[in-house]
Amino acid sequence: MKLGLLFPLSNVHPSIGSGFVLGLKAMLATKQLQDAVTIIKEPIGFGGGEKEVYQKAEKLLMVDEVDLLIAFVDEKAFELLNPLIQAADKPVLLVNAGANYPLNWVAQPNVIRLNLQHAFSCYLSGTLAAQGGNKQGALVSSFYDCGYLHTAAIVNGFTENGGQMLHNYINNQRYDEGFEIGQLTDFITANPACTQLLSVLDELPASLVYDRLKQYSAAVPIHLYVSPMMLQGAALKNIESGFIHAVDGFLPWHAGLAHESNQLFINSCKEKASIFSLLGWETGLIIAELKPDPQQDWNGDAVIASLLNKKIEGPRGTLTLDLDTQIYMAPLYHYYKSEGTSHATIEPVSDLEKGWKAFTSKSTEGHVTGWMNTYLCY
Amino acid sequence: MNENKLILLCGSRIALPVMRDLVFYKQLGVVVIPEHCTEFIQQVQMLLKDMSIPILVVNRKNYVMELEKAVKKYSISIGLMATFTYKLPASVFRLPSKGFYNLHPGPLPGYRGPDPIFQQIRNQEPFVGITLHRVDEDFDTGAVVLFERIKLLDTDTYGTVTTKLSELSSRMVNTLIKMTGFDFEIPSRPQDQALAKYFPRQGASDITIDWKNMGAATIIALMNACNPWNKGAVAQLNNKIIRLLEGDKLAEKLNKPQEPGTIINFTDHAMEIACLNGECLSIRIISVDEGIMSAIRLLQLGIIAGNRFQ
Repeated sequence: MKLGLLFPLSNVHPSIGSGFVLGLKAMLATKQLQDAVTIIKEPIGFGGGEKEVYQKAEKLLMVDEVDLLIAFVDEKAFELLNPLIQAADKPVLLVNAGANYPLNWVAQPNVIRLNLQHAFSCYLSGTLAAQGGNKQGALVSSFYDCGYLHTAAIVNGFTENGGQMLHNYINNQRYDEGFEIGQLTDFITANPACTQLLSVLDELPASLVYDRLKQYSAAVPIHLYVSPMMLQGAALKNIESGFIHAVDGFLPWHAGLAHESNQLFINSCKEKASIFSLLGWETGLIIAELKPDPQQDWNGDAVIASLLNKKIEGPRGTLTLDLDTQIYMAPLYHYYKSEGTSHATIEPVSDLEKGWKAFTSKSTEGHVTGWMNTYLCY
Repeated sequence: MNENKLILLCGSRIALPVMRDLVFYKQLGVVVIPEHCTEFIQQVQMLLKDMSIPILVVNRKNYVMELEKAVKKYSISIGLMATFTYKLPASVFRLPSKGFYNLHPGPLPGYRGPDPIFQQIRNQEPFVGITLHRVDEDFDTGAVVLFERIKLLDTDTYGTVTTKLSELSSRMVNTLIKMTGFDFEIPSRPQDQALAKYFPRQGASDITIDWKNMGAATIIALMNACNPWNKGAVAQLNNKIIRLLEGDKLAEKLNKPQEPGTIINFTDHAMEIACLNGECLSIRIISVDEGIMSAIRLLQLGIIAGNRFQ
């Protein structure tokens, strides 16, 4: 079996590509498939150069004649690949953080998606925010982070459930000692009724915002409803020491999950176990389901049909392919820290179906602007 | 987006979002419309007012010559058709250096023909699709570049599907334009002739309700497929043509099945009609010579419970 991989790079998250490959290879080794699978990698930088992404994909599909293309790119760059994929009629696994989502939710030929459900997590955070406080909120994001649809998702979750947006705070500063959030705190002070902060930031700016908010004492308690990257590593450390404000959010995965599949993943990847190696590991699990052998029919829709209705046990829990969208669904975990404490709880979300149906019920109309590069690749 | 100029051949509003985008990206070289599409010509004239984009009105006799001239005159490198009714000869579709393409509002090769939106709704497909394909010697037979589909909802009409597919098509054309800008060879896939199916334009019998053979869901689908262009599916009662425009299938079956087509009841809001196998339709809006109106106003025209549609 020949796998083609469009392999991303990132300055801020340097392990994004290497971690993915590490997880993929570790899984294939666990299933003793390392000799049955050849991986042909093509680096695509940050994934924002559409022409380069296309040419690399074309080489993998048409010259190398891979059986399955794994495209670690974002939705916007992926649009240009569609004619190529339909002409090649090969299966494609589109992998990314899930910060963007397809403009048309209906499953299209040959394509399945595996991601960290970031936009969906944001939608759930926005929905939760509308159930608390007095339903008045402000968006907190950065010039980089707001260029992906997860910001639309958190706002949609909030407004579709009765929330009212009062302010958009988009920080455009360098992430250094001079970083400040004066405009945001001035707004909160002047609008004490606006308690719900819908926050979408990557790990580093999230750490800085948390740090600056530690020095801010609001007249009325504020409550942060956050994106998944705001609950990662360094950011998380910042809210678990001396951060008085309440925080809610949803996580795709955390190292503390006790089930056997997660333990196997952590023991295999050791200190390199991360959200990126997780995606690689899960990709390996999907490949293992295809039982790579020379007799396999590699027609795109035939491969996808063979994956429907199969449950895959992975580090996050059970992965299932949603029939309507052909997106892999995985469990999510609710993170909650109440006001004035350092103690947080993380609980699995019991029913995602209703939220997922609401999230995917409407396709995006008109045009969408945003960054071309893969989220977290910059 | 890039320097390529496009000629757009079109005959209905399905082309409008594409036209809007091409204007925005300054890539629309010339628009060509058949002369019989009078309302659409006016619509386009308003849309392109003060934009110095030529609109060429052609007829069956002169279109080939006019198209050949226009491609050269406006330095056209891409051709695009969207519901254009005349067949292009090779002397036209081979002229633009980056190819000639057609937007067909249905999946290919399964829904060839002039009005696939009507056919897909009438056939109660779970999805409706739109195909971007290369133009070749025949209608709807060229290699497929891109296909996308959307869900067909129970409430979707011919009008709503047209709007949704036209928005989808503008994104597909953007992808095509971007690819030509990168000088990529546009990938495409020949149609599987074995799967080809041609649907001719619907005739009177295709838009008329056959009470003896159509179930309630089939009738609703036909109503949706005829809304708004035909003001509903055609039914006949006492030599009067009544077009059924909007309604639902009732959840519960009749206790005592009646002859299909029999008006069972007029409620405060709807006319209830018996269908095959004890099913029942609740019709809210109809169209008659006197106007488009609530179905219960048929009472004022002398139609009562117990009357039966033929």
